[in-house]
Amino acid sequence: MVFSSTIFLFGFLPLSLLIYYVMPLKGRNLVLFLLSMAFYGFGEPTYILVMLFSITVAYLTGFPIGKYRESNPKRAKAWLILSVCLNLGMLLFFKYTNFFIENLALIPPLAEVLQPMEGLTLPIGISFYTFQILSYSIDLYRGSTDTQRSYISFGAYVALFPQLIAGPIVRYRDVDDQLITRRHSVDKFSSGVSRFTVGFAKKILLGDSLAAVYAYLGTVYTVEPTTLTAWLMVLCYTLHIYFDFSGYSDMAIGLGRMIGFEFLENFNYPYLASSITDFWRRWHVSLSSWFREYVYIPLGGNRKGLPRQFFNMGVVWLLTGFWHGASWNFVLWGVFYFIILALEKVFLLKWFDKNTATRTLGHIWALLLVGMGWMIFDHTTLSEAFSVIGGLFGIGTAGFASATVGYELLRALPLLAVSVIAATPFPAKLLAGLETSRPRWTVLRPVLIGFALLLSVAYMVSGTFSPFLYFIF
Amino acid sequence: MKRKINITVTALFLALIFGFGTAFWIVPDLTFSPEENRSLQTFPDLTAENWLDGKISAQLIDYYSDQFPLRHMWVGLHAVGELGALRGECNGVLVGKNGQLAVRRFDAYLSRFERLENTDYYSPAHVEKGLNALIALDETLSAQRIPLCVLLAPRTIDVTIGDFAYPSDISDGLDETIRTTLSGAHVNSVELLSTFRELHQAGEYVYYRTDHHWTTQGAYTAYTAVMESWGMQDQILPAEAFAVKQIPAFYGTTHARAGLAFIPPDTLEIWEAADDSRYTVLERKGDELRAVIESGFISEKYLTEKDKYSAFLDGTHDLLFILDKEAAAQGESRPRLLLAKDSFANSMVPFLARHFDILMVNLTGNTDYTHLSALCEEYACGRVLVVCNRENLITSDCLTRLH
Repeated sequence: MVFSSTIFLFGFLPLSLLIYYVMPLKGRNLVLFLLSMAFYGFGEPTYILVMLFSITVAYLTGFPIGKYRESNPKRAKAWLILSVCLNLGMLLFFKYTNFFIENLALIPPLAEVLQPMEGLTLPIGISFYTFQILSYSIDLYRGSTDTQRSYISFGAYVALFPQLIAGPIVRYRDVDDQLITRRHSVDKFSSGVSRFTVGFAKKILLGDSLAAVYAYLGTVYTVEPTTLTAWLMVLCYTLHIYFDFSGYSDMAIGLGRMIGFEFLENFNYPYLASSITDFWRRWHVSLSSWFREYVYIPLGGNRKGLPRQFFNMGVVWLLTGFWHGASWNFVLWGVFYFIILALEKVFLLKWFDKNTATRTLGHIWALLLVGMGWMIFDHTTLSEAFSVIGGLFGIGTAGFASATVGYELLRALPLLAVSVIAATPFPAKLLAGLETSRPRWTVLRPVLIGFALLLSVAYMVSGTFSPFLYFIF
Repeated sequence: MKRKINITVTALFLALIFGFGTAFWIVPDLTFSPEENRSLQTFPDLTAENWLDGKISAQLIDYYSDQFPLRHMWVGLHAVGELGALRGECNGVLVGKNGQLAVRRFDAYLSRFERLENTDYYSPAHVEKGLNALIALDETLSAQRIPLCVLLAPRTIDVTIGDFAYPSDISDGLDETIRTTLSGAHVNSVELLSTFRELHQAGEYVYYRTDHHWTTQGAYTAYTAVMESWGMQDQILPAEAFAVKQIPAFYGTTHARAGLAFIPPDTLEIWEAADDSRYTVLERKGDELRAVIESGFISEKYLTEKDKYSAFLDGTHDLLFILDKEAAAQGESRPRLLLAKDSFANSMVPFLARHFDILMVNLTGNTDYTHLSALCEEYACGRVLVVCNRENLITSDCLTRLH
């Protein structure tokens, strides 16, 4: 079940809010745990067991980790390793088994022995909830948090439906106190509604519309590859993935607030980045922070000399790429960023910082490389990705533009213009400025929210309108 | 003030999700959507087996979508949003001058297993294959001394291109390919794109605004062109020989696809002649013949339904005979025409039937009636007319299989 569906918005959500708020405070974690299980089990009934296994392993190992972390660190470490291995093992098994089998089967003697496992599908959200679970075990071992004694509260943390299937990756220590007490108020609920609506509109009105243009251009490019089509593809996908993903994070944060939680931000206007280094401080922040805290720093970070730092970066970016999917294009995507980040570390960041002109070049550099990176990210067939990237520079194209793509550009121009503006802080600043300087204008907020909500619902419902034109016989 | 605003925002949101969430369960379920011409998902069977294999969740998602209250109001609001965003089209349908609609994107046929989905383009190789099949058919029929006429009817987008900001290069390119290939092989091909474009620009009602077919006037134009191509111009019935009956409030397939609420409807015209009752439409089912329409060419029941175009010859049938029953009763022998066609021909038949007994086979139906030379022999047809919309040329293999 996704948030941008009628069954969630008009079925699951009102029912959940009703049950949650009718229940006394004491029982609300239980309600959240059961509702989250229902949310997950709705589409993945058999994989509930996989998630419960992971929750139970981390919950049970939490007791000895907490108990021995000071008195017997070695024993605590052994329990930590058990938790990490079992949880990572589940992720590796479900996500990567067939990838490894398919690639090992390319070696002739193994081709007959190894067969991909049929029916092995990826449990939704496993990459996200596994990382959340690991944050609990590791932080507990480090002494950054205390043992969670309630299975229900720990289960509610892992399975919490607002962030279960697409993040943000919430570290346990960031919400441990909220699992015990959290504030509920109309103001907080209203702020959750606003944030949810912003995310909903970003996803439905902008993200999905851009995806449709991108899909169309992708087909066009296979028939008539032109330079303009390649540029439009990169632009549309760059904006689409931002609105789709950040919209989903906004919805998660908004839903969290409706039930009293505060999650950390996951995006900070990434396309304003002054370099690729800056981009990764702004994009999917919860994932970057997770890798920095639980992989990069434990490996030594930048404290053991430049060669070791590059090695650590290489490990992190290989894992980051691989985390996004079991396919070579994601591995390449990770390596692509490792190389760029290494170059920036060696000399580019200093150079970009020289003056206004070089800073502007830094922005262009970041945007261009991020856009190209998305083409690697989106195409599992690398030749297709490089065909589009080459097309940006006129390599392998059948000219600069065609009349049809020119028409498509004009048609998409208003959408692109609104999307570019919406990817900057300008709209939020404008509204905040108006509300401060002219308090009366605050009445605009419910009007805008109502309008965005109704239009987004219209687009969502319309997406399911599918005339069956059998009479085009 | 701020608190009041927060209460308003909360109340608005809760009213929306609880209001529609409750209405969803109160409003009775529908089983069919005439606008979409399809059955709607009803409440699924709640069994453990269905739940474990994920069927229930998929069906419940469809159930919520299909039965959502005021669904068509939401679809209309989406269309307003699309046009408000200056996109000039909705769901792949262009919206032009005077409420003219035209489908722009199709699923282009590449092979039996592969299509280029939702695109303006077509596969030149596939089009060439279809045209070559027509050329080969012409050669086969010539050997049997049976004249062939081919009419590849332009799509609405080809004819009404001037109503949109959309470029004409794809329409023009397709037309050029068809003309040069067929005329180069001396196939009797009736080319109507420029005629229809001129008539449409002059304000003549030759193609529907909300449907993908030509109008009855357009069908009459096609009929006269076909008759001229056979050298039978002196036998053409003048338009004045028909009384025009107008059926208002016709919304066609293009309108259904666009999901637009504010486009004025079309008027479906039925051109009637005094002797229409002489003719009958028979269907062959196995060895039996059954009258689909006893008298005339129109199935009246469709005129009150949404799918009004199906009134012509009762819609889709794989094989029909259109006969002059009075002539048959008197033992009078009439020339026989084999008409291999898609739906465009249905509104042409009432004109052609005055001159021929017609054996009509559907090229896009379930039964394979592509062996035209054999059908000619079996039913002693003296002429063959292929009428097929260019959409079918680029999106299906109905022409490539002709022989």
